[in-house]
Amino acid sequence: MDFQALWLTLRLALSTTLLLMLIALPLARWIASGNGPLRALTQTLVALPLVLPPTVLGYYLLVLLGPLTAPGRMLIRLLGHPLAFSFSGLVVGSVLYSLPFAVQPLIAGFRAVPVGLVETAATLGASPGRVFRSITLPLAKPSLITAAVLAFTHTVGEFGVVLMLGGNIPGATRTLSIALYDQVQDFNYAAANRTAALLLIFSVVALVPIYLRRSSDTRSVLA
Amino acid sequence: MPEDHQRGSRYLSVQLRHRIGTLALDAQFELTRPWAVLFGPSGSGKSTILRMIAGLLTPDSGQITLKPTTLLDTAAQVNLAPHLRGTPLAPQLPSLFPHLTVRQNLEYSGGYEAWVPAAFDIDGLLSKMPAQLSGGEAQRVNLARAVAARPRLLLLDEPFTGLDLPLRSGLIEHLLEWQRQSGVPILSVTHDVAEVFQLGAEVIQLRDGRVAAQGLPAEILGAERERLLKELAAGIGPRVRSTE
Repeated sequence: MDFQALWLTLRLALSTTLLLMLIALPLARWIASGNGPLRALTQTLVALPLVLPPTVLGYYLLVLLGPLTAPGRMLIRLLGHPLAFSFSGLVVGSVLYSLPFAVQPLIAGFRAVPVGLVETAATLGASPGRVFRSITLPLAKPSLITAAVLAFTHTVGEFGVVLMLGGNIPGATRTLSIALYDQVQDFNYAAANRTAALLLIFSVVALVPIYLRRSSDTRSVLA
Repeated sequence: MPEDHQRGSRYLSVQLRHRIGTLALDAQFELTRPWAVLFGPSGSGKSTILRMIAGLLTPDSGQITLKPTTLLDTAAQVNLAPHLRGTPLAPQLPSLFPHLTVRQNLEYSGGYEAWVPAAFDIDGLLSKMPAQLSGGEAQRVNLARAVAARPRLLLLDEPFTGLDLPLRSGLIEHLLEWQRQSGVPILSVTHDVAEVFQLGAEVIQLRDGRVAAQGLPAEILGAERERLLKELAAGIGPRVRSTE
């Protein structure tokens, strides 16, 4: 078992999920709060990684973050090293790649909160910020959990972006899915079996709470 | 009646023009008594007016003044946000916050006065969740929560619909008593003639988005009451005979 890759994968998934929730919450709140061309365009851009081959996203990021572009050169000057082929670069790539998996459930969750409750809270004297914290967020809690779990598991399983942007540097950018690829390349099927089984078990364990929670919610609504 | 108008301006004056779907709203009125009722058939614009006063809907043009505050003046581009208006709206279907207990619902506007739960007969429900309440209980909490918000004007959208008569009478008494003490005006919406007479409130009769008449229940709805009473008498007569 490549424990270094396991540790790196968990670190990457955790950092990505935390960052994603910080970005996705206000973004989803804004998108869910109305209509219009700007929101539609933003939602399209957010959804892009769902259909874009991960290697394409990885390639563009590699170019954008490298020394060939002005933003890339600025980043290199700021950080002292290129973002590509580093752990921080992987986090940036993963955040973009998993963005729709965090934003979409949140938009659906926020939109499902009955507008009557939001309006009543406002007429009772609650500011929009307080309405969001005290009514919208708690009622959308299942969507928050779904978003976090999907962002985490999706990051654990990503391959194309990581390979393009991070290369395959043990301890820095070599995640479990890359390790699995290497193990198969080396005909080390025993190790590949263990890595694949670990990723499979991990995904199942992560998804079970979402659906357990949903079925118990349905029961409490029907009761 | 200039005197009435002067007294009326103490409470609320409303002037609204709005087009929404098939409704062309063009309403203008002033409250001359502390409790006024918007009365009219479905689709006459009653609830729309209430939502505009609460700030949940902005009219095409208009002016709403809750002395001494201008809540809305489209010409002067004044449009106070709902949470700054002090006009809690108790909707027809109780919209209790489902994740909060009854007590937390009451406390949502920053606490409630000790007499409120007893007055609305909900002191035994404070630790319950809204899903555990009956329709009547939820309606009482709905009203109590709006009262607990220390309103400057209380807006009630068909607050007694679906409640049995004793419960309705009890709630009306509590609200009237609260109003006597607080002096807060109430504007409610109904299409129930009996309720209007029970409240003894000023009636603002709406028809197709316009104020058709305004005055005391006997003046505005006397004929309607007579008609209903005759229908009632005609309906009861044969049944009484048949049981003999």
